[in-house]
Amino acid sequence: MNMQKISDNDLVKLFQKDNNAALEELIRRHKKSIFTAIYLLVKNRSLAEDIFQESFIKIIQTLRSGNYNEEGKFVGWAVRVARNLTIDYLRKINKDVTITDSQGNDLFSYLVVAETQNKEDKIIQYQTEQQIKQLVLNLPEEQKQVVILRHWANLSFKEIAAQTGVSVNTALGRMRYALANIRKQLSESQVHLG
Amino acid sequence: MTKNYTSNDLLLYYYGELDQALTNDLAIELLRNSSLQEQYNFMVQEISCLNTLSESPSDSSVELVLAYAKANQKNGSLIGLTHP
Repeated sequence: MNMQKISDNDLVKLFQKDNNAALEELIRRHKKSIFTAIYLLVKNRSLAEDIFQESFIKIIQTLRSGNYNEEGKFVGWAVRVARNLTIDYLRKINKDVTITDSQGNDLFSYLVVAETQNKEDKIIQYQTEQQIKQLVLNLPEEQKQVVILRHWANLSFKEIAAQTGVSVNTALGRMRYALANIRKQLSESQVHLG
Repeated sequence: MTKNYTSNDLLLYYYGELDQALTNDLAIELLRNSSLQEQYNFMVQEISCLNTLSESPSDSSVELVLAYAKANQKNGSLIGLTHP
């Protein structure tokens, strides 16, 4: 069976019938979106790894228990599970997770890429990516939330509005402010888009 | 009469959330209104920079999750996880 051609909803149904290859395909498809969403919330790679694992344990339990009744997008629901676990965790430790210097991982990935491509271009690209990452991490919480839910969790603005208890126009406004913030700060740092 | 499109409409258009009639109308409007087109291109550039951000979990995290799924299926009970 070619899993790559099967829809998310059908993969969920297959997994509920104990087909683990279906879960593997769901993870392959969405691990970056889900992990990026978690990472942008906790700002710490090691913690994001823990929450990623815990989120999938909860996802597996929910799917197997037959309590999954999402008619919509699997990834939107999965990010919501991850987001709720993240919030629970942050409440539990009762403090903000500080931005840690993740030089180990990032430097490694940079060095690996730099070996195969033009070093100067890769340095610029790497610096730009780090800068954008930092800008997104530092967005006001409500703007960051909308960006994560729309761009990585693939929720519609209507779904975001319902989930965050605001109007659709407010959700749209927050997204626009977030984009304008990012552009303004990139422009101040003389990084050009496009 | 042509609708005056707002930045919110452009965002909804980009993410495919406008209804079909408005989508068609806005697509035509973008072709003939250079100022609106410029505004849209500007916004697309802003959103595109988000695409440069993509974090991936470690392979060991994924393996742990899959191991959990298999063990959970076989035993019908939860197993403890240790982080790598």
